[in-house]
Amino acid sequence: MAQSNPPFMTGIPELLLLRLLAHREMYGYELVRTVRLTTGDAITLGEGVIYPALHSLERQGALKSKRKEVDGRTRVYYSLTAKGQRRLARLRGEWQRIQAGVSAALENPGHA
Amino acid sequence: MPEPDFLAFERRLLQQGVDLRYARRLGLELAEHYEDLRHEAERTGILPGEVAGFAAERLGSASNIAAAVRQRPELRPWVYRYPQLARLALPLAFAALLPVAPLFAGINHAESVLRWICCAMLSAIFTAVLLLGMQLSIALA
Repeated sequence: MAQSNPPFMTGIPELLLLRLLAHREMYGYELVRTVRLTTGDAITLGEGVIYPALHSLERQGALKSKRKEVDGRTRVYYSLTAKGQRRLARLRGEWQRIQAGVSAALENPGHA
Repeated sequence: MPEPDFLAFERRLLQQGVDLRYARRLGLELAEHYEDLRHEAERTGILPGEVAGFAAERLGSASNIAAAVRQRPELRPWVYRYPQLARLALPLAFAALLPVAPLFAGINHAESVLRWICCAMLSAIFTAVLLLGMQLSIALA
């Protein structure tokens, strides 16, 4: 399997999946490839384990799926729902808050 | 490296209590993903003998994927997620449904149907009480 990411990555794959699917509908392999390309290989999602994450998001109503035949191949395409949009906005806000906090701590470690 | 057996993987998921539709879909999507990885390997010039190994390694081991599924209880049917509720609801549902079954036979034999309903109701209640008693004895043991 490709290089895995450390435990503090919890929640980030979900944020990335929602963000990419907000742009357009995609299938699993396409999503993994796009994450690799857009993050410059900094974030690599376990390719097989992406599907439980997608199914879970779908089960929670954040995504919807449809089966399509493209070039003789059956693909399951995922897209964002309105609930997914709200979840993306919330996760993005949390991520920006954490990112700002960590950046501030890294730049000024001595400030109490 | 041997080709991954996606049907065996589906069976493994079903054995660990994953919902049938998610187990089937996961098997299908993993098989499709594996094909995509094989094509990617061929495009990037990986030697034919190493294509299957490349694709299987990138896809990940069956154990890792099964572990990722186990971490998501929402992919299991409700009887696995709420076992206490299932222990109570299933005997009650059984008790409620069994007496209704002969109604589908029609009302021409209303008297016989009525006798059947009474007998079935009594036996269903007896069975439900017995099952509840067993569940309680297991829970309290």
